[in-house]
Amino acid sequence: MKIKLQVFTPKGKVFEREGDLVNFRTVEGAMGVLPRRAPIITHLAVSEVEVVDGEDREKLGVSGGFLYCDGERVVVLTSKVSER
Amino acid sequence: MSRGKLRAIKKKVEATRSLMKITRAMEMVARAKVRKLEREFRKFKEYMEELERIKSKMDFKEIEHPLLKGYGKEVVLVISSDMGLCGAFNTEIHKAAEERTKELADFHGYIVIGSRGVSHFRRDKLLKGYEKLYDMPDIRISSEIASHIMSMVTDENVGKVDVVYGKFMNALIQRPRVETLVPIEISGGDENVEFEPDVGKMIDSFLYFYLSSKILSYMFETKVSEYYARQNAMKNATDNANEMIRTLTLEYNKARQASITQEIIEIVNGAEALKEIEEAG
Repeated sequence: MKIKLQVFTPKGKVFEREGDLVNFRTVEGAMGVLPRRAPIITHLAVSEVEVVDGEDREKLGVSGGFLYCDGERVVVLTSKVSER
Repeated sequence: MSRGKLRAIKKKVEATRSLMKITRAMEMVARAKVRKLEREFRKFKEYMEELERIKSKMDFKEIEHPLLKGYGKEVVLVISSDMGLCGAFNTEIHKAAEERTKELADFHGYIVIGSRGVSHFRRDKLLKGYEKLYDMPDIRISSEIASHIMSMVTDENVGKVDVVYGKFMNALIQRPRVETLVPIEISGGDENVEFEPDVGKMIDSFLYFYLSSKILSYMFETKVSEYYARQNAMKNATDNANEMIRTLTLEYNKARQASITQEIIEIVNGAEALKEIEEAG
């Protein structure tokens, strides 16, 4: 089972990718979520969100915002993402 | 019929025709812009849907926050447009805002977006006006307005903010609508959800984030309504100009015919007179 990362800004959905693990940093420290994680809402720091898919990793800079995970999806809401 | 009248009518036709060119161009510009705007608004709605979902999961019951308390002075946020030529769109919004303030017990003042609204409310308890900031609504602008509201809520004992905006019903109908922005509506939350950090610690940033997005959504909707209102107003103006040109052209032709007839009569009479003189001689 995989977990899907979706990143939304006021300009719509700007990123979507499935992976085994999603890493990010909250205002209190680094965290990672795996598929089937219990639901959680976090306040993101200005940092990078990373999706790990096997050997492959993809990163995206976010200007803070909020993250919601329900075990299948990780939804990131932020006002701005960095150019990839 | 004199030549002067003919010339006057011709001038009127030309003036109307050039006016029609402008109104038609405005209509086409509005039509092109609204398409792009609606595309952006659709994308924004996906984001807003996710944000509303997160908000519904949050448990605010134990939380005290000035944005949630709901008592204190009352402020009305009016969203109008920067440009006119959109029929009664702005006037209706202003009227709805004024009617709303009459019902308020402790009215503090207006915050107004859009230069039409700013010039209307300038002499009427205007706390802050935002003019000509955007063509396309943007989160940076709505965040600025949100932080202004936040500071009023924390420092000036404001407890309620109503928003008056242009609700988009369909392409032909746009209505002013009054909604409550502050206090922010809360639900029971979802007790299975964990929080990192605690709700109490993130509430401030979350409510600010939510408020900015909510204001942005009202800005988007008003802008879409404005463009549709302009399209309709300009279409009516173009149609009226066309009708005017038709009537004036008819009048012109009548006048021309009358003047020709008059000339023929004069020539014939002249010829008759000459003939009589010859016969007499």
